[in-house]
Amino acid sequence: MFLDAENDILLTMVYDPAGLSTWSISSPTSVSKTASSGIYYPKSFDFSVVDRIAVTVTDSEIGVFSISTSGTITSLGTHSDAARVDGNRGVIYNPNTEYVHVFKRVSTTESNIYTYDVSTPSSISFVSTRNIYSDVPQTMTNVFCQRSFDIANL
Amino acid sequence: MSLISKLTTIAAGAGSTPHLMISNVATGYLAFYDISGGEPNFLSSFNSADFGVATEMKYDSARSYLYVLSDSTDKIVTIDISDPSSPTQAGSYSMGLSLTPGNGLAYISSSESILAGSNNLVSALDISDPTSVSSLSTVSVSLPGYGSEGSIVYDSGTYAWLRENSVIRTLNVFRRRE
Repeated sequence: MFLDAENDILLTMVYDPAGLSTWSISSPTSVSKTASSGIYYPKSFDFSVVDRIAVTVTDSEIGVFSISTSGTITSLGTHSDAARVDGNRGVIYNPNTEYVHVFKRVSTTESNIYTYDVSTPSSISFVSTRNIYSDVPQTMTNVFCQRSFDIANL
Repeated sequence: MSLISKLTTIAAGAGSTPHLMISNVATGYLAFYDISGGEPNFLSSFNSADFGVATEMKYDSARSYLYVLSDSTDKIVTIDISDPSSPTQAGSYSMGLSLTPGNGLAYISSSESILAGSNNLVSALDISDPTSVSSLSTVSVSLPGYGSEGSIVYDSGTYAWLRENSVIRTLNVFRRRE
């Protein structure tokens, strides 16, 4: 869930056909749904208030949406890549590079970060795979699949 | 007039300084990546085995502390990542109850307090000293969310929104106790 504080808009995502939704905050105790994307069974999403882009991943595709200051959701493009994005539990969007990084557990011991270029949302392209097993030297038994990424300035 | 004055959830930054991606990997490790160049560049890992799998993280950019909510213990752990190539644990706070994956964590950008969701509680914690987190207040919540559905966002000082589970599909609004 994200808060667009400048415009009093909440963004949520639920694991059902309602998918990505926006909520208008007219007062602290009055929160009403503004719009829903209708995407099916999203697994994770990220939102950048800087450029008002929301990115989602489902079992089979990446979606890029524009969120207006009034909460309107507009699909800018999708990219099907079921081989890589099934079962993802984490995604981040970097507005500086316009890259999306998607986390996926690929076995009981290994996980990957997939990078996509979404600078042209109507033509999303796969960039690279990074296997992180060598970065984190531990056998990942009983893995709790990664839930979220964070990104921050240093 | 905007009801909420400042965004407090962590999002992709737009500054000119390099970005660091902070990834909760699994089974007791956090991994840190520089993604300023586009593709992830590994910086370091942090063994968090003593507090379990981190299910939620928030970054205090003003002081370079990472706050981690664990699902397998009752702790919120603060990690000093002023040097992302060598993160160190700065402190921890025991919530006094069991936590489950997907409960929310939010913080105020002023670095004064953090809001944590647990099984049926929402707690405000004082993080003015990141090495010594203490409790400010706690409120009991009915049906606070479940699994990956629950989450919290927090405005600049007063209200928090907690989405309940996918069956209930409601939003709760809380006012922080002063």
